[in-house]
Amino acid sequence: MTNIQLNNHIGIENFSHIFYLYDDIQCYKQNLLSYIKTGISLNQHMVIIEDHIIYNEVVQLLSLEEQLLVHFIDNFTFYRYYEGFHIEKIVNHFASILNPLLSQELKIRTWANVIWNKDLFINSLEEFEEKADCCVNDLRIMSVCAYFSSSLNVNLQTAMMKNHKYLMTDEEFVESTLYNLGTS
Amino acid sequence: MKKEWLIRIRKAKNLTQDKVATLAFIERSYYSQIESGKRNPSLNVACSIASVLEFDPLYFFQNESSPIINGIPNQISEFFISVDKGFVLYPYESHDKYIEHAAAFLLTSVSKKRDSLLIDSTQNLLLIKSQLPKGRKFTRYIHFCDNGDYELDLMSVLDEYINSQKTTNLWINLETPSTVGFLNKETYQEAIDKKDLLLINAYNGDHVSAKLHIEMMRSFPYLMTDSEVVYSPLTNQEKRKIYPTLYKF
Repeated sequence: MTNIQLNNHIGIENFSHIFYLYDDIQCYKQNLLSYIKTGISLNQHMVIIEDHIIYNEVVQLLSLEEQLLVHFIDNFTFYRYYEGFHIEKIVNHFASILNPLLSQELKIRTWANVIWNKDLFINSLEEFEEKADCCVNDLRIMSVCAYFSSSLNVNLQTAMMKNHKYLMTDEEFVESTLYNLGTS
Repeated sequence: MKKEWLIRIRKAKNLTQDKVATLAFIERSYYSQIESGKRNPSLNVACSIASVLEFDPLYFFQNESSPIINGIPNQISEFFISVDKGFVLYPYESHDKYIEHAAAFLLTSVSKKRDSLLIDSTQNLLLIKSQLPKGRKFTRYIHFCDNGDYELDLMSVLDEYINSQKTTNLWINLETPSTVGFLNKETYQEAIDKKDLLLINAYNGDHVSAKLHIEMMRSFPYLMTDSEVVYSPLTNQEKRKIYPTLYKF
């Protein structure tokens, strides 16, 4: 299990875009908890876009005081599962959530469990992540985009590895050797 | 960068740019841009020009300097030329690029006088063969095997082939994802250690899940896409893993 205690001690910039391909849900929850705990220790606010069942299981392991730093958004609603994955709308919505926090000069990190409804898929995930990478770099925040590894094909994985600096699995956390190499 | 060597060869044969372009079935302006280094020829065009001027088409790729990232040539043709052994994972997205790279792989093995075996579907074999120059020089080192042949015992073919060669290039495309994983076995490590075996394991990236690909990436040191070759980030973990032992809980 990776257990991502990402902070300055390990030489990762505080504004990193991380592509997490998960397989085992227990490892996944543990990593989410670890990510939140590390953020809390750094006095950061967390924006967690997650399945509500997973989120509820993880958040109950935090104290009430710790929970004040965590902002939950349901991923089905956020990714417009029943309306269609629309890049502009999602990115704008994301910015509208982050802006109030950033305007108060709060330090933030985000975690998103990305889902999409194949029947209503409008834009490409690659394009979405490319925009998201620019957004993360511009805002200088740490951001994890998590995908269930069985739901993604290799072409999408390759595209993701080109616009995320770090690749994470349930067992590894590495630099993506394809980052910034352009599109195939 | 200007291709002085190409200009020298053309002038030695007393040919004009116009004449070479006509004989190679391309526009004169295109040929001129190739000489001046403004454009790089596709494999097909490289072969046509090389055939007109009677030189090895790989000169086009050997004489270019390409970016080297993390110690390996990033450009695919350069990689084939300079790397003689190792396992390469190639999930392809563009079918055209796939055919082009397979043909370049075979041409490189010919120029190195290495035997090569390419296992692929009937349709792909036809397309790849159509990209290769004719003549015995090009075919004596190249062997093909149709993966749709139901009589074929693939493991026996591979065993026999790998054991009979000291140096070899192997390109395998097994289309169906369920069989992609079978090469991920230590059986072939011995062959890799003892011989110069360069193996490309290709598959259609649309048909394979990221879950399976991650497993493959852990055992294949090189990762190739339609446009570049890099080290797999999931092998050589001592070097690449950023922090192996930070357990908090």
